[in-house]
Amino acid sequence: MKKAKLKELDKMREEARRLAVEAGLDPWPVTFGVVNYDELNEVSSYDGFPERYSHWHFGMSYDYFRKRSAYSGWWTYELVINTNPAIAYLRDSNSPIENKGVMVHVYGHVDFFKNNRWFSKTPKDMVKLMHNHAIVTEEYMNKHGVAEVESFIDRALSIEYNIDQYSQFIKRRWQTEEAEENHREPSKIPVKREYMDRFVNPPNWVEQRKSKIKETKDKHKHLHDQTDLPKPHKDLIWFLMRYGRLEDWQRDILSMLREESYYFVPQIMTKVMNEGWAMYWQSKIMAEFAHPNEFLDHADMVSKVLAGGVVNPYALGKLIWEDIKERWDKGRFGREWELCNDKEKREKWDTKANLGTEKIFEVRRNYNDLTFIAEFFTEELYEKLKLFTYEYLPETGAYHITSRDFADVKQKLLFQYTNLGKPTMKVATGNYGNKSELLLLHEYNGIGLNLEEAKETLKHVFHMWGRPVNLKTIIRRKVKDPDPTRNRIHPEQPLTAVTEEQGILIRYDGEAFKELALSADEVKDIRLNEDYNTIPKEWVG
Amino acid sequence: MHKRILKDLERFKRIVRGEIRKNLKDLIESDAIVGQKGGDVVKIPVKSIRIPQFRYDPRDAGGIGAGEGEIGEPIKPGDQPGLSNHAGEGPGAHFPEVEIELRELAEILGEELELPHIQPKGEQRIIRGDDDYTDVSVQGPESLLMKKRSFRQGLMRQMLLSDPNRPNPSPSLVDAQPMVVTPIKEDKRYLYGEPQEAPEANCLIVFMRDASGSMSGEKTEIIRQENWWIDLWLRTNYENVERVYIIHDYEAHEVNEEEFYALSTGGGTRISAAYELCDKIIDRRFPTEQWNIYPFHFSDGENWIGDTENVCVPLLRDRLLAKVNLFAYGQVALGRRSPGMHLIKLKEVLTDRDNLTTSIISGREDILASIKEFLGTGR
Repeated sequence: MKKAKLKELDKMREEARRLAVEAGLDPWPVTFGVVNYDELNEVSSYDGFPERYSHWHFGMSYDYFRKRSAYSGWWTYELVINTNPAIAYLRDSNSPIENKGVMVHVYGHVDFFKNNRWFSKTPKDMVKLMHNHAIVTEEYMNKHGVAEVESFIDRALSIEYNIDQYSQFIKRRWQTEEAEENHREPSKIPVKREYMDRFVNPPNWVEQRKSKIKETKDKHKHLHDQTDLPKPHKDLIWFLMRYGRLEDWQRDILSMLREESYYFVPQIMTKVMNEGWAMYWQSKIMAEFAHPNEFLDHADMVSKVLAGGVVNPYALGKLIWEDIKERWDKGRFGREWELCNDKEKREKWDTKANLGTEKIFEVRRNYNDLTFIAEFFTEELYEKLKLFTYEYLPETGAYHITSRDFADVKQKLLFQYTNLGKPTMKVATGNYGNKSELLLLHEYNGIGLNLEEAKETLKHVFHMWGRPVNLKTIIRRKVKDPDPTRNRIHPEQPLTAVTEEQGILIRYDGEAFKELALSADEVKDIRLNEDYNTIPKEWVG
Repeated sequence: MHKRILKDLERFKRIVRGEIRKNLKDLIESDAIVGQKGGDVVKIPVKSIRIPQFRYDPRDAGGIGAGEGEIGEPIKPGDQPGLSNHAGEGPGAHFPEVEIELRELAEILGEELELPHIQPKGEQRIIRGDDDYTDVSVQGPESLLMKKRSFRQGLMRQMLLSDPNRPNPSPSLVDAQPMVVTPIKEDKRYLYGEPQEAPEANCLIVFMRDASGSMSGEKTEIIRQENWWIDLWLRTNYENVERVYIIHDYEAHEVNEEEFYALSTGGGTRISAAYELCDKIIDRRFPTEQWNIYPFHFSDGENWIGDTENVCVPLLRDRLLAKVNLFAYGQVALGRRSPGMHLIKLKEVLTDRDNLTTSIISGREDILASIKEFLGTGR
């Protein structure tokens, strides 16, 4: 790359940053790397990092990106990682307007990384940690063999997001955690002034409580199997790391992958908001940044990114942000607004409140996709978008439109962002049936597991647990087939079989699977109140 | 910088190859690949490559779409932009399919079936300059001049030719007069691409099939599958491939690819009509000294009485077989493995001709073996 061009890019970057800050954004510094298409494909498959641990799935991503860029001219448009300073990439063949657009977009993301509370616990020197993971994995591979280590990583990746994304603090290594637990101080009654402390919390009382805690703890330890959790727990990786029959190096790999998952999970939890935020500011700032003759090119670029409509997180997010801004600018919020049913009045509603900017910055600080959509995906937006829900019917072998009701659509939308869009799995005990067997629970919300895949996953968990593993879930059992000719005569009102919920326990002992039917009582603990299935009642039977 | 990702890529490819190899028979028997249109890559569903996780049953999960449509109306998720569930696919998204280049797929096919690389017939060879400069030459165009290397040669010459009485230059090299090196013609070195002898890379595939009523349906599907893989193998062995499609009943017609698989006629069967048309097309349009020719013929084994021995055999023996690299006949009769009259007669009379090959396909499960029978000759 020529010096002059780099200088020009740096000037552009300064300008982009100045415009972003002027607009109210508060990003960390950003280092832009200029890369050729092959390097871009490489960092893309490493999720933006210069280095990752060695595993074939990165090779798979790389292959995917390479073929994409070779055969369809598609490339990674923007790539930025959540570190301080943030690191982002520019393709060396980008046109000036593409560079400008990407830079502004990136500053939007970096502002979000810095200020959204769900990112507050991620390590800001993740590049270094990823580098360490790469080195350590390589050492293990040298010592234990590539195949051995890689197939263990296969297993671990099977549960990479079986963590508790809401737990605020990363429990890094199981050893330190245990140490912490042993030295826990009894909680004190909070005092306003320090001198009050010895009166409110007299030393002998604190001592007494301390020894009592220790006593119950010891008792607990002796009488109680530690793996028998008092409450089901989402962090399966942590549980296996701590209690699984594993070698030290295997525990270490689990802990590294867990650390990476906790690092990535806020990005999954805020994808709609974050992409929407970046697009929102890109469009705004580019109005000033783009030269008049570049404007159409930029519009074209934006429309490509937003293609696909509302189910594209970029588009959905941007739409909601724009809506919030407008509503709070016009005072369309609060009790009066909510209670107003007069359509005409609502359309003309404008109190000149001018609170939009303040509101969006508050939302960007506190929300995640789930709360964002729950609160700001309004009936007005829904009406604009002509949305519907659809479901699959095995009888017709097709997907059918099931509802155009706002509540149904919103429910389905929320479902896609609940628990990272994945089924909620919990570990209940490591001493199921008093035989040191693992029991996993699937909290059922009307949508079943992909059973075949779940069984493959169980196999992997078995190898990490070292003893038989059990999975409790609910499936839908067919009770009665519909009239077979009916769907041919009235395809517009399809019929599906009558089904019944049936609890099952799937057990894998290292050799074979066994399935056991459970009574309704036995699955009470995993049947949630929610139901995300939108098949109309009159279609059943 | 590239070391680790290339290793990851290599291991991934090894896994893919292993999976494809394991499932090659299934892939060939199903229409998962053949149904895909165009392009240099095909998508291959390789379930086992995906890392299993606890996920929702996608059919159970349903989704959200945008646009018109009544409640109850069936929709195709493929038609809906972005109908897939975007949430939860975080970094390191998992791809449900693997894309593989046709060239790679052909390689796997060749390795798995142990197909010998094709020996193009005849003496026709062309000299082809290679694009890679693998060698150095003392002459060449100025644009390929290797400047550094030329200067080094010049320096060496000047050092060798310099005054032997001159004191050893090394201790005081810094102070010494700067040496001016002027490369002369003998010093110049040029990048050089080794010319390679390559076979003349023209290939003609003649696909022929009996299109009478009894050949429609599953039999045609089998032929389509088999032809796709044959075509794949030949086009990766030759640079330029032309295809001719002939269907026949009592008479023969040249058609395009689409018609070849779609048309079905009513008449009887006279195979020699197709062979004659094939012969004529070769004579008129594809001079044998320039083309490697591969006719493939499929029928259910029935033929007009006397046609095989009286017309087909002499035609093959005296004319066609001399012009082609390989003549392949496939008998496609569902559930029947005994040879029909056409096949028996061909084999009886033409035992001594090693560029005639035949195969019996009684169902999809025979496609793989049949491909091997056809292409295993290495012609």
